[in-house]
Amino acid sequence: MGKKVIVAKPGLDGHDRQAKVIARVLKDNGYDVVYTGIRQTPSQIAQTVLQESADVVVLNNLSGAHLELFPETVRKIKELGISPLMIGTGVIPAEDQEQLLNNGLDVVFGPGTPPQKIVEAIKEWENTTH
Amino acid sequence: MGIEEGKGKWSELYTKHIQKHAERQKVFALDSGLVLDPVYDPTNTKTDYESDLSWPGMYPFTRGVQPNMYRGRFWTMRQYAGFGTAKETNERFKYLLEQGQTGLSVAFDLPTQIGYDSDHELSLGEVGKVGVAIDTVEDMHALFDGIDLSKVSTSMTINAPGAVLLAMYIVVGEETGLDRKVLSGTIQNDILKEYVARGTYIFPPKPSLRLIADTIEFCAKEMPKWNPISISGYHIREAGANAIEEIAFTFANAKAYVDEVLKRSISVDDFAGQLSFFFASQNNLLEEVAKFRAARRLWAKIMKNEYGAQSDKAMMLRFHTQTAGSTLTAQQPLNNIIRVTIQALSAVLGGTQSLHTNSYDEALSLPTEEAVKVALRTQQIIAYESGVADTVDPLGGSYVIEHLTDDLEKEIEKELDAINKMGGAVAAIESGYMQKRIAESAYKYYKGVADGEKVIVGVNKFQEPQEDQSFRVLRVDPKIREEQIQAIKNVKAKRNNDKAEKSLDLLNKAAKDENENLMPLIIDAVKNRCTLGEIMDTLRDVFGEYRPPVVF
Amino acid sequence: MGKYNALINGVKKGSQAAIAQSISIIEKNDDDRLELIKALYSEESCNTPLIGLTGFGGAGKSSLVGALAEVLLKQDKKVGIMAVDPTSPKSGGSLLGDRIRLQYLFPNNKLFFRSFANKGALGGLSPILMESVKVLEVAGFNYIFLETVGIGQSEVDITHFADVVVLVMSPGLGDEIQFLKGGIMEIADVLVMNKMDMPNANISLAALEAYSRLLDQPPTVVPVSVIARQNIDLLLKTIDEVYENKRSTGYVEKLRMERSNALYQAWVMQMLRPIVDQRYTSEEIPYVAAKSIADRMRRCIDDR
Repeated sequence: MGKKVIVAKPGLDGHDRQAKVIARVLKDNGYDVVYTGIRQTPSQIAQTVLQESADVVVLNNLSGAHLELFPETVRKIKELGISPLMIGTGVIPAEDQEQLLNNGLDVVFGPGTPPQKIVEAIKEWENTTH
Repeated sequence: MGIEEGKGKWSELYTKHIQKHAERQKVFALDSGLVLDPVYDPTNTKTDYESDLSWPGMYPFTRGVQPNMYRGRFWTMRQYAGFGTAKETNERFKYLLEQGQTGLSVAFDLPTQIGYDSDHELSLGEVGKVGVAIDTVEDMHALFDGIDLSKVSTSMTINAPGAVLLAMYIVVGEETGLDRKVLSGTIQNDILKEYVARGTYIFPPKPSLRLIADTIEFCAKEMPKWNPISISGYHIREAGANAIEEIAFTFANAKAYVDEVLKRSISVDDFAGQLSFFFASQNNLLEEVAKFRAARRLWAKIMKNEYGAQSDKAMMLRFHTQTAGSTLTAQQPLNNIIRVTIQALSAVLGGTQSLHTNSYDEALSLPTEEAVKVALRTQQIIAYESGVADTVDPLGGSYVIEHLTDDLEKEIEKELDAINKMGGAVAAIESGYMQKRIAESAYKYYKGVADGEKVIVGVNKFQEPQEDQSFRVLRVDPKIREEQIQAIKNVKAKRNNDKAEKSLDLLNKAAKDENENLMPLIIDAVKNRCTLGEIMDTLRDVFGEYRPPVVF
Repeated sequence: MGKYNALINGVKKGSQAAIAQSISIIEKNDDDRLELIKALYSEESCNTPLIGLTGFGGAGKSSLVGALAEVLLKQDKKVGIMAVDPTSPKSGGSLLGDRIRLQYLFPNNKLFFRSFANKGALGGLSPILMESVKVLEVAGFNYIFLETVGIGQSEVDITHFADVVVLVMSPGLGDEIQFLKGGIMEIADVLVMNKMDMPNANISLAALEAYSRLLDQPPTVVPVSVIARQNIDLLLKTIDEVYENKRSTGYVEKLRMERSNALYQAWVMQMLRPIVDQRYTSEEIPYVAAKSIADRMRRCIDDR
């Protein structure tokens, strides 16, 4: 049984090329991937993660709203009593990456990260903890 | 020695040569799938000079839409800008004009683009982020404060609420003493590509098309210098489409708009001249130059043969070009300056009417002032130093360019036919066809890079181990949302609420009647200080909201 | 009671966390599930109508389920939706995209949506799916929708066991002919021609009505437009009527028996397979080896 991954786009950003490529790469690596589509609120994402019993959540945002939206999404998810692996991706400058890691994200990738790195991060997490 | 004989001799020589020294690649293919021969010659193209190429400014405009192109005036150098509040963006505009920029281009934040006021729940974290926040006409006044709107042309990247932003621009003009007739500029107003690639849609296709036709009809009658739509392949390309799909999908969308306007009692020659286009320019210079030329020729044929256009203006493909943000790399960002230069050069060699050059730091954040300046200087160097602007269509007649122009035109036509058979652009979008094609191309591109077949300098070849990413990043103050919310409160407190409500009521009623043009009512609502969100909510109530199909 | 006492209580209270966790345990094919299954089946569950929706990709099934759910939620009903997507045979992974069309209904505590990857279950009937239905029944849902993509393979069997089978089509694609040929129309209770807002949809509707009359027990044809929100209520009413009719004639009861029997068979096949798989060596004649092991098993079972 492959792990279940939610690829989610919080916020109003409608550019989903990256999110879709990430979803496909994860599928090609044997994961069951649920894509939420664009324009999701943190609460919508949290309920999705709960209902799908997701093991991993990949958030993607390209509009620069990650500092507000990512921690808020993590908060909503934790409120429901679950704690999947939280990965943040998008146009995230180095200094923000630190801040996100301190605010509930487990892994954060900046711009230009190949999707394969996300697969590696999940695999590493599976090997060490699950 | 005749050409055929010579070619035979070369062919022998070539075969012998590559047996000894293998070529770098088995196949030299473009991203669009076309394959390049080792060399081109006059036998490769069946182009008839008079009918296929003709002269600049003459049908089918393959060589350009003006008789002398850039010998008269350079293309408009138009850098897309906007962030934070209207006041901050206004300062950036003034800076750019001082630096020699010749047109303005406004980027709006996402709440504005999706028709939410800054105080809406969904605006959290987004206010002022990817562009300027506009809630009321007062913001619009601040945005253009001290800029003479009769002297500058303004392009606005706004789609679903395009009619409202145009109305705000008109009202700002009128409240500063300018007749709407003298205003020149463009609203993007291209909803179909939002469904396909960019995602800032609000309403379903049918009412969206009606609203767009309303603006086109309104401008045809009242704003001769305004382009009421900029039909955009740019975002389609950026989302992953190849060059053929970019043009084919754009033209399919364009035809849907033309068809919609033609349902009204207005002739194609009355409005087609005000249609403008917007394309991307990527790294392959030959493919891009040929693409622009092929697009110009094909559009002229479509307008003439399919729509019976009579005036030259209605057949001319006039377009804005932007260099391709998706090709910029976060790694070794200074390399992006070179990429942008090549792409900008393609656009100029392809005969663009205006150009935005991306800033080298865009893969990392909003561009800093320094990076914007280098981008603008890139255009100025091409214009003043390279010499390519001094004669028209300098690559015309090149064997490979003419060959690629022919081939691309054929392939684009094929794709257009396929979409026609599906029932046109709207059907192809609702079924997810275009989205599917784009996602496939994007994935193919990704695989090519991941497998190393496609070389990206600094990314999968010539990488640097320890990369220093410590450079200046432009930040938007999160307090901007509070400021905007306060500003909305002020406007609402000062306005005549009865008048505002009444204009929204009238708009609601008119929206239910398909025969009514909504532009005048939207202008009234704007004048009465209704907010963008209020106006869009009024229309949401009548039109409903679009839900996308599931496509990977 | 057992270790799943609290969890089952949560399910009964309709806790989404408890429902999701139960389904996860059911999905993981380990020893834990036995205890949970026992606990689940010892609970009384209401007979929730199980509605199977199927049709080709692009017919608009997800949007239709969304529109139906929207109406039911307004009536304060609890709606469960299970969507099945195929698994890539190459990687074993899957892309589950059916949620996208319904995300706008969330957050909502009366709506539960779960995506399933069809891992090519034996005999077409996925035990995991049927047992997840049980979870939603115990949780007191008023309607359960089962949405499957594609026709012609295992999905037919899944829909075969639904109380009401709805076949969704869209105009102009010749879906109706494919369904008629495939014999799928015969198992449908309701035929939906979706996207009636499209040009020439009436032609497709007329063709569908003509085809449906060729069947021994002609299903009800309902023209629908999800975009225009047209006839959603009518479709819901039709589904209710079909269900009520089947219930009052004892057919629903019979279906449930068949479902249990099929579930039993599916499990037996699934559990026996690894046992028999390992016993085959390449020197043996396949048929002879299979017959010999089947005989041995029969003797073993009969001895008891």
